[in-house]
Amino acid sequence: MPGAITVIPLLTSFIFWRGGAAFVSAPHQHERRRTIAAIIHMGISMSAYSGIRQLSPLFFSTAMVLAPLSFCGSAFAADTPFIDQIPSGLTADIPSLRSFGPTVAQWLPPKLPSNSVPPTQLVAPHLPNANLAQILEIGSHNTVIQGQDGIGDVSNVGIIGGNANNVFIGQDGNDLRSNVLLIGTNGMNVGVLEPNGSPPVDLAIIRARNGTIIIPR
Amino acid sequence: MMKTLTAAAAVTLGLGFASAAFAAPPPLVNESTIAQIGVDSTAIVSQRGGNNNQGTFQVGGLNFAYTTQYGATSKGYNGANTDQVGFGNFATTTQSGGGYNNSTTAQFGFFNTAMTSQTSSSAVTNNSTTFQAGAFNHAMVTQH
Repeated sequence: MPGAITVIPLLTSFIFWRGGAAFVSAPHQHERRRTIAAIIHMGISMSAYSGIRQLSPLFFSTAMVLAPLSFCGSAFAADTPFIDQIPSGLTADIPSLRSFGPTVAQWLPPKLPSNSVPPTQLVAPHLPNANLAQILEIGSHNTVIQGQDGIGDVSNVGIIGGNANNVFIGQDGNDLRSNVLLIGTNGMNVGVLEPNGSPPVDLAIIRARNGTIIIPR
Repeated sequence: MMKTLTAAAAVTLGLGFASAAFAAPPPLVNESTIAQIGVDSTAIVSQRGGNNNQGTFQVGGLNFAYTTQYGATSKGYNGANTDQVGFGNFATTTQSGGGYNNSTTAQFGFFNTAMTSQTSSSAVTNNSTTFQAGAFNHAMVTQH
């Protein structure tokens, strides 16, 4: 069922990213299973980070059905590829740092006289309204399509050592960010659709030598 | 006597050119550079307006590069650079006027395809970079 394989991660990712969607499909059955399992892992982690209020009954039903798939791959059953960050509820108060170092006034440069010439700008001016699209492809039979319609959109796609991968980035809005990196993957189809107001999408898919698909956060 | 008249005419003409140069600002120039090493490679460049800049460098055979730029206003600046090394690579770059466009395409290998289309206004600037190494890779960028 290639349609369902594609639609289910699309649905879960759409819920997590609140408007920014990403879907992944793989050609082989075991790669599909591991990819879906990794996306479920990522989705559960992102949902925990975002808060319970982001969740919906649809997500719970989908996650309950697909959660056992995460244990199909031996690599995921043995150890998770994700690195846990600070657990929830752990807080630290560091008021003592305020007493170290110079104050803000001490860091400021001395004021120039009113009749002095301002210094020449040595760096390139920042272009806040610039659209940027970058593509890096090393491999064969890879296809990358990027479409940007807006202001201040940034999209980076990198395929390193992969073959027959297809990546589509669609950004329709302002100040959108998306970074997609594929390393060593074969026949992977990745699509990122970002309407206006979508949060940044950072996606990396790494295929290990033993065939394990790793999707780090 | 003849030598004196010739020298006077030369000085007069020189002053005339100098006055004309100071009277009007220098026109915006287009720059185009094409370098091809190999056989049966094709490079087509079409620039309109001023202050455009383009460079095409191809090594190998059967490479094709097409660049068209349109800079309508004096503020518009288009810059395109296409580098292709290998065989059968195909690259097209289209940039319209207004704002600041910049495109860099580099392809190494054979039968790679890169298509870049950028359209900007005075409020938007576009930048695109495409790098492909290998064979039968396809890249397409569209920015508005």
